[in-house]
Amino acid sequence: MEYDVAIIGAGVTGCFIAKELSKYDLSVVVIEKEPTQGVGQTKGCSGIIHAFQLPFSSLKGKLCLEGNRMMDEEAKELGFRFRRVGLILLSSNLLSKIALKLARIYLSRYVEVRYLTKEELKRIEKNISKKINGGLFFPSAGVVNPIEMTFMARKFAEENGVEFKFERRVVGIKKNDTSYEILAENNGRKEVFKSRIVVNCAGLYADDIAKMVGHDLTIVPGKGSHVVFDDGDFSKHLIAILPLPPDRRTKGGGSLVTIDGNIIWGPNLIETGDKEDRSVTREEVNAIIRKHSRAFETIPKKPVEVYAGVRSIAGRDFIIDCKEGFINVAGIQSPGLTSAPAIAKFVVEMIGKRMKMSRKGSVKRYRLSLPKSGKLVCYCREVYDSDIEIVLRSGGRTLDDIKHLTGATMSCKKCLPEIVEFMVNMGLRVRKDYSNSDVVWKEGNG
Amino acid sequence: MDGRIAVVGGGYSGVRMASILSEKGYDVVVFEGRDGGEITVFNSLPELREHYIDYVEEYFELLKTVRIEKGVVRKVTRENLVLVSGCYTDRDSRDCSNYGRFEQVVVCTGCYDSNPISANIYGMRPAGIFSLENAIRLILKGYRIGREVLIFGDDAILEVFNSMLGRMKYSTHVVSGEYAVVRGRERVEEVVVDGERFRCDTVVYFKKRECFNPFNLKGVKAGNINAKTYDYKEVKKDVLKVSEDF
Repeated sequence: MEYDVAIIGAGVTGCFIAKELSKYDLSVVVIEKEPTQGVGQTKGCSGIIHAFQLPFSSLKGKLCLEGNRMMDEEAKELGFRFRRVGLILLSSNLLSKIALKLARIYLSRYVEVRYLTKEELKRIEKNISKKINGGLFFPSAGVVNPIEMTFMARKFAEENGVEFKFERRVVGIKKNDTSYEILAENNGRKEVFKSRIVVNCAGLYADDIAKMVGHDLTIVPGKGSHVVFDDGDFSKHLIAILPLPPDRRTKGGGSLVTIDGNIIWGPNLIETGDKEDRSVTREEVNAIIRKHSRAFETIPKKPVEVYAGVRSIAGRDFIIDCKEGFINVAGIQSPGLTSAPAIAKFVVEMIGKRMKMSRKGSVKRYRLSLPKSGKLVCYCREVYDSDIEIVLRSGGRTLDDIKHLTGATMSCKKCLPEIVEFMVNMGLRVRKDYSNSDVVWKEGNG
Repeated sequence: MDGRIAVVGGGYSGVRMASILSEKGYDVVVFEGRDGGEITVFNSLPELREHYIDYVEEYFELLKTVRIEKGVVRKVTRENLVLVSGCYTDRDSRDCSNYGRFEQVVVCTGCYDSNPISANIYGMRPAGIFSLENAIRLILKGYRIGREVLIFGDDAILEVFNSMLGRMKYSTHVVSGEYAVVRGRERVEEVVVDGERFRCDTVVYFKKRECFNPFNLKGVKAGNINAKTYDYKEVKKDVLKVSEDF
């Protein structure tokens, strides 16, 4: 069978494009090498919905603003959590204070922004450092759980007819006159997917995919480490302090709140040359803590975890182009999460120029209803056995899916053995995230 | 109501405390939400049972003498008198059974093993990194947690765990050090401890424990929730010490 559109990659970008396409009378398939959605860059990001991205003239700048504006509607339509917690940019010396005041004049043309005095800042964030002399407040910045957001986009798409083929790694693409043949490997077996249009959302490996059809593209990995704290009431906003780094490829990170009630400090930007290097060193943790401590009087006390994501950097901007029905959506690093709904719209318009697309009369909604009853499995986050079951029956495939869709194992992790048992009893391999990330095996112990 | 005490947690600490308080003349009810905590886990694995034999035997003896009700205590409120409210049984979590009013509440909900960062484990986060507590429980459930296990830490309990793994035909290495770096993308492949490289597919670590009180229950805390250890001599000491205030 020949599909209208084949999307390679089920990250937030691929899933949002799939979601948008599912509103049209098209046959769409998403091909993903891992067992579930959002396992690449998506899960390694900070979960921030940015207020803006400089420069405003860039593609990422425009799509960031549009995505941010669209986010309330998207969250409502898809059913994921989204909170506009606001971003505070702080200054601690005269030069920075002047810079902020000047910046406000420029930025206010594009985004809602207010200047806050030291007293006003102290009122909304009690723990701010005495050295802070002023700040800019961007109320439109917010937070999501990126895996939950991606899962809900995937489910909407599935509900409306999009096929998701997990654990299929694309190994070759052949171009015919009117279509493409995608060769994928699935645990040794070969599969071919034919499609008129191909959308390359393969994240870190978008360059490998692009090269299969002779497009020139290079993705450079930029690792970003985070430190996660359990001090939920440490702060209520996203907070960063000037000076921001001169490196254009990163906004410098900050003290971030998450929608799940944690505090995350970071990310940094380290070029490792290795697309799979997600290691976090002690030096990085110390540097991150030193950097963001400047904004506060006291620092969070309970580090609970560290993690790193890897950005796919393709020069200075997003690359979204179409050549003979092959659409590259590459270099989608920050603000990729924010831009996802806008990127989807943009790509769907591109596709619409190449093929007749008729909008469906009506679409089905998807809701993940967790019963919150039965036997309590995760005490810290109040997750019941029936919640875990629903997640697994709804397409959650890994421990990370369970974690991000229910909250279980986010705190003390005492519930991990029971959740593992749950998955085994449902006949599932117990994997953390990747295809071969088995946590336990069912064989006995001597 | 006078002299009624609710003990939350029917593990070693809760049952020990209940027994002492009963002897002092109090009317004690122990609320246990599951199977009796980690002492019952230790009891089910030969090497651990032997290591904790005194406490295991003590526990099962005392169990016969105290009143245990099945349920998870979710909230303790104080309005002149102390009330245990929101005590749910396993299957009917919306059902609130009122066991009457209590004068005091003793919280013996134990502790949990802290996260890998607390053990100075950095590097990647592939599958195969386990806290000691979770490794033990997964093994008890009958799962294989790996093949070549690096046991990272220097507490005495790790040697007991090591001998258990040895019997179960795991290949093990007990290493203590200041700082460990994990390598491996999908599963652990190697760990570097203070510069020395160890090939392994599993890391079981122990450094410290944190108090487990997810519902933030108010009350007198006793046992491992204070001691935060695998050394049950200290757990018993804490229970005895706290009981003196009654």
